[in-house]
Amino acid sequence: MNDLIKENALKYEINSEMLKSLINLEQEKVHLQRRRNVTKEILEIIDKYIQNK
Amino acid sequence: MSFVFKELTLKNWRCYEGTITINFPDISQGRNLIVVNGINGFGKTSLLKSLKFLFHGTSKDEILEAWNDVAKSHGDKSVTVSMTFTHNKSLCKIIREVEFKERGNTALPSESLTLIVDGVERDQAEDKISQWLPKDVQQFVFFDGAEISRYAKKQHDQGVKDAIERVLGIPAIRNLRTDLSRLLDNLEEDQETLVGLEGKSATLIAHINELEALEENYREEKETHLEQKSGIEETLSDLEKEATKIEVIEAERKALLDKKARQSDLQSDLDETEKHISEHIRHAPLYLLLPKLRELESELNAKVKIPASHEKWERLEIVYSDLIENGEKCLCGRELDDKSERHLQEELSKVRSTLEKLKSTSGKGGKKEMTNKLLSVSQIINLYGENQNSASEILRKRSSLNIRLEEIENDISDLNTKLEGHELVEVQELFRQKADLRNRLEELQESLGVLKENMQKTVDNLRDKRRELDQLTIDNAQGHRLVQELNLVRSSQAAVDGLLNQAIEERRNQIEKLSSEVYISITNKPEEYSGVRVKEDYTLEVIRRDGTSVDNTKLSSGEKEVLAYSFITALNRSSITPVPFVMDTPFGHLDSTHREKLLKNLPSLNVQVFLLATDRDLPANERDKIDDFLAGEFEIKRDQAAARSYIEEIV
Repeated sequence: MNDLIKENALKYEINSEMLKSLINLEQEKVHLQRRRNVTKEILEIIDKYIQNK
Repeated sequence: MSFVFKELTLKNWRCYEGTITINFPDISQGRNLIVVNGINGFGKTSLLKSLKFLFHGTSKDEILEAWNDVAKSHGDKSVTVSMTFTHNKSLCKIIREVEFKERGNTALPSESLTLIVDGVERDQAEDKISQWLPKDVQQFVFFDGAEISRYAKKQHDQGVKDAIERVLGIPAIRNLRTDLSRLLDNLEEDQETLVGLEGKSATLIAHINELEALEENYREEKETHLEQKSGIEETLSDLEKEATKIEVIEAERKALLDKKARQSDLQSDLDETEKHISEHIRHAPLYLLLPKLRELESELNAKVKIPASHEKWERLEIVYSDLIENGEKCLCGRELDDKSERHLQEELSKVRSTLEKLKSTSGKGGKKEMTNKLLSVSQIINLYGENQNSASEILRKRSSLNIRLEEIENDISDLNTKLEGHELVEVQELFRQKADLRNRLEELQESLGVLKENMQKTVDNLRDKRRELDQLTIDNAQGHRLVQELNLVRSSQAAVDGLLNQAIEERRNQIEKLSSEVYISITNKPEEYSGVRVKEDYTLEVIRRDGTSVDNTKLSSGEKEVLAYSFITALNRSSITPVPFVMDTPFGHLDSTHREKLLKNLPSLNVQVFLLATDRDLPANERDKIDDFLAGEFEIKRDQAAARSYIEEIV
């Protein structure tokens, strides 16, 4: 899976660690019926990456 | 190993009255098997149910049923199941407890759940546990061996398919795609608010909205087309299979015609043979006369033969004639004088006269007549003698023809049975349908091509318009960050789209490879089968060495168990969070060879494997086969006087 994440991150010019973080975030919430605030948390991860760039 | 069970405690759980604790032994690489022996009714399934209850609870009715009868009668009003385990190097403990409160004549259960991780009680225990072991995944790790073959079904229901994807970690990626799309909508709304709905930006937004609607239409149309295409392809595939069957039927129809022609030839041959046999029967008296005719033949032969006495006189006649006509000397070498010659003449006359007499007395009717008779008798003997030999051959031929005819009649009858209900019209109709579907498929393919082209143009156009809008946004002081976010979310969305399809494909391939390896190592037919195919809906097919698939319904119960076991172990090995594997009475339909191979395969699972086994699952004479990978062994015992089961470790 890690290879696929890296491959697609490279193809669409995004950071693979950021993509992995997004997937992990969803993985932690996958069992929940309602994933509250998840878009907010995704945006936080993206903003963090923009700041560090 | 991410999950290792350390200690299980049961209190008043089903047949286990009071508190019992089982400490599971440490496991090492290749030695991961823990066997719990127990005969029927002693509490193996109760152990399995305790694990299900521990992780995911149960219904009110089931918990009332699980409350031990003896405890209930003694007024002990609590049922507890707790487990200590390690998870990713953390020491965890789950305690699920039920207290029964009396209300009138009924007991009301009140359930509580506690999760302790590294000595600290955690809140949201239910969520945390579900994250480690989702409820719908439970069916692949804690299962009744008798039910395992259901995974070898032709079709899974949606629940099973979702559970499989859950084990493989697919839903997280799917959710990310949905959430990124939602986030993008929010950001685009923010962008519209920021740039304002006036002037150039208003025109651009209107244009973008139109293009988005158009793209959505194309997308829906494309999906409809793809659904139709997939439907046609599926029907075509069914028709191809039907055509293959029909080709077999056609070959059988041709064989039937050939057999019928052969039957007709054989029947003519038999009729001809029967005629010959009738002929022979008509001449039967002559065959009876043959021995007498042979006697007559030898009598005639004797009479026709020239007697030895004749020969003597004939030789004398020749000698005397030669002496008189040619010789000048006597037999003794002396020259013949007139006296001698006269004597010779007299002797010659005597010889000739004797010969005449002898010839006249050598049979009435004369020699010629007798010779003619002999010839006729010999001819009859030869003719019927030969015919007598050919009669037995003809009888043999008739018998052989009858056997062959009977065989061919049986073949014809079998073929007629096979061909029942298969009309020639059906075949023609099938080929017509196939041709129609192929045409429809070509049309769809063409239409899809045009659709994709239009869609791409729209997408390109949309991207250009968005860029223009992004440019307007950047011009705004607050817009710079927003555009950066928009771009990153769009790129992430595209990456997740690609990742999702590839991840599903990769996971399915991985399960297929692992299932095939396990199946081939266990099946009794490794030379007949090449592996297992995992289809898009995660249903399974056994593949023969020639590439054709075996209909699951034609697999024996044992083979279905092996197939399902192969799949479940492959799933366990592909799981993003592998958990211990607990099988209750696991080898229901397996023969000893399958059982032995399956047992040997268990160490390849990189998790604890618990076998809740009867003596049928692990017969005494096969115990030595698990010694090499046995980590520990327990036995469920029963104090029948106290009506309680308990568990002892076998040291």
